Amino acid sequence: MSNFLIRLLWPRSKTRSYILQLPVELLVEIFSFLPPYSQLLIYQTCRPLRAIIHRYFLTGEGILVTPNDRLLYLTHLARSLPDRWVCAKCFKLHQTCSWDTPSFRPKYYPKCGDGKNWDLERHDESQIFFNYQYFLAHRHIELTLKYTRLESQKRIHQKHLKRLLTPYHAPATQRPADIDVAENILSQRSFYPKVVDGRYLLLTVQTYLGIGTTVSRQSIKFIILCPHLCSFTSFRFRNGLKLDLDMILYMGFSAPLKFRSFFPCLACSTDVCIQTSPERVVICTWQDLGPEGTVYDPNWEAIVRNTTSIHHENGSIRGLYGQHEHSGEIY
Amino acid sequence: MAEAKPASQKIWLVSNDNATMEVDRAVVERSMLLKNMLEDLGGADVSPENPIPIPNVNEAVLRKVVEWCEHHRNDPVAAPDDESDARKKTTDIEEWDQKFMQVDQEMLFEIILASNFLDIKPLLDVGCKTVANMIKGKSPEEIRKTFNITNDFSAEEEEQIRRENEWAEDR
Repeated sequence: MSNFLIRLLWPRSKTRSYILQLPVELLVEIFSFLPPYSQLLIYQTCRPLRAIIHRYFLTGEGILVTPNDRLLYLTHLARSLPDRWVCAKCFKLHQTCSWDTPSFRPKYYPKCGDGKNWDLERHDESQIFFNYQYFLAHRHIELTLKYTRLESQKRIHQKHLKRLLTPYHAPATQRPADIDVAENILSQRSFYPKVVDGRYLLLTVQTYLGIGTTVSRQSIKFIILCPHLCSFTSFRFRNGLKLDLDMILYMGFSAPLKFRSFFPCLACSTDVCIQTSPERVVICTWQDLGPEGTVYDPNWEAIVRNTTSIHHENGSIRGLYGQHEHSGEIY
Repeated sequence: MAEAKPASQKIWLVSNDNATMEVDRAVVERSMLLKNMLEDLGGADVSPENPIPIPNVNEAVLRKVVEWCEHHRNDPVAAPDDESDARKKTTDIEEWDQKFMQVDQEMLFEIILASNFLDIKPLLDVGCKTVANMIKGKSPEEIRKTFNITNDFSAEEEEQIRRENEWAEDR
């Protein structure tokens, strides 16, 4: 199609679109700065721009070569589709389910077209594996941020968003299967998701309460706060970064009365506060799981896949999250 | 032998709405069009009474373009064949240019048109990258909204687009 024919497609309406006033060669110049997935999205905006992309650039699914290209395309396509989420397992858009929240784990999850389960698997790149009682997957973040941005008036979206952002208090238990604590210690985790400036933040509060006994370093046998902060040695040295959680806990329990320490993870967007007293230990983590993006977003990748390091200022995520009153209650 | 051109030599430009402005020759020469023109003129009569006309560019836009050229007057001039792909790979814009481009869309696209007409490649790049960054990260619907584009696809074309995206649907 010649530039002359492309020009014939130009809108005659009185509403002014400045971009459509540019000559074809300048539009080609602008679009040449864009990645293929973005060119493919312009292809779907209007007839004149579709004609330009068709003439000067490659089109079709085949131009999305890398997995990240495909996910970026799907993620941006789905930005205006509140009923769809991007599956990083099968590279397709799935229909949202309003029951699907991090705090609810159904017996059977729906399956992707290729038979893979939405269910979360350990080391799956689309879920956080260390919050055993809160099955936070990337789709929850995508939908929470999308619903918030779109401010959809549809009741189903509003209800789903409310569920996604509702704090969750995992049942308080003694000796839960996945948290290794000593006898007579009651343990509970609470999760408080929040959206701030288009970013998904998660505050997790872990409380250890002594029942007829004092809480000591020996009360907490195993603890994991993020892939890099863990009292289990093999995790502690990942990425060559060492922050001795054991040492901080030891200092806390050596303090005569009350002890409080704030520190960041050196490899992912996690701020931590540990408070100890003879009756209880409260460990808070504030995590920044990033803005709307793909599972390759650095914030998500650093926390989930541990293949990227993110550095942040101590307390910056805590500050972004804002005040949250929690003195270690057990719900 | 060409006449020596002092750095402080003044050149007068007149916009299409008859505003005349005095600019250093070194600044004016950021425009390849004007640089070549001045060289062809060989230093002949450019004066307040006989300014160089800049058609298609109004005073407000010309002042913005001159402001950019003033700021970048000492930047090295890129070779004409410096059309490498490396330039295309990034849409990073330096901080001053980002602030410079914080204008309404009408002005932004006027700057792009003026830099294209005046052949100021680095300014054209900054303008194009700014628009590219406005497109990046948006869905087709958001792109339409941002640039006030009307969805003029027919029902058949909409169906064609739906078919093109069929691979992305979970069925």
